[in-house]
Amino acid sequence: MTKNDEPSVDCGVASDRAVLRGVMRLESVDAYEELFAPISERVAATSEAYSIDISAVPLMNSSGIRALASLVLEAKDAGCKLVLIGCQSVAWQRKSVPSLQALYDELEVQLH
Amino acid sequence: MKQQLTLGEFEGRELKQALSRAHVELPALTMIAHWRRCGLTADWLASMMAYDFEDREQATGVLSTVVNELLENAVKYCSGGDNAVSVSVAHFGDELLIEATNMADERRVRALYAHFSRLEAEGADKLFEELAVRSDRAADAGVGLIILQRDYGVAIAAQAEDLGESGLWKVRIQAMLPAEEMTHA
Repeated sequence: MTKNDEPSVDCGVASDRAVLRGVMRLESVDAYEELFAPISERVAATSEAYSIDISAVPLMNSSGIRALASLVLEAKDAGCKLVLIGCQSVAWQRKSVPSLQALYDELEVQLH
Repeated sequence: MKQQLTLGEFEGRELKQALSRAHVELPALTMIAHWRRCGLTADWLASMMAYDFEDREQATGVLSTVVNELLENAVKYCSGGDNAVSVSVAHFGDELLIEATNMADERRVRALYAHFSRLEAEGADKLFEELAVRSDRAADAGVGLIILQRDYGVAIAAQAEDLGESGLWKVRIQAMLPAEEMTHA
């Protein structure tokens, strides 16, 4: 794994935005819950819109997609509008992310 | 008497007919100990097979995802760390056949059978939504197969063969991926 492939979550960019980076193929939902914990905390604490930028995640496994779905449901419970920002050119984002909209009417998916 | 269960349209096509093919066999314990090896194996197989396609970057991304899901499942549900898991990819022109094999106990085989039945009865969209709202870890099982079917146009099939006294079954999961899914459409 190169340094750029390491999965990371950066919530320090702005108070209303998290940036995910790297190859996300962790072994379990538990591992994702730990990685995404800072996002969960922010989503639960705000009723404003919150954005998650996944553009720099070239690959994500199904445990990760399920963990993203959990974040969407947490935003729904908190009454927080959620925006997922990704790339059309990244296969998993183009194919799987739009279907998360079925979980929450206030989820906006922006694929550039 | 030994049993054999087949789920979906299990493909018995002769692999020699493939335009290109690759097969990798790995000790399950090695993969469990170093999880990242699942992804590395998927990336390598995808890169090699995507060489047949014009848009190699897209083809690699799609194929790596499909191979990785099947391989991760095979490793997660393999019984006996000293048993091997295998994964193969065969390119038949308009479709690719990806197959993963592992040993599993009867409980896992029954769970797989139940998952296929629910997927057939409820459909991929509804089942994904049901599993997404559940907080238990068991719900994670099967989500990968749902995503492959729903988002990648993959046809999933499985065959489980009772190996007798060992109490183990040989489980083969197949994913038939349309080649048109390998391009950025």
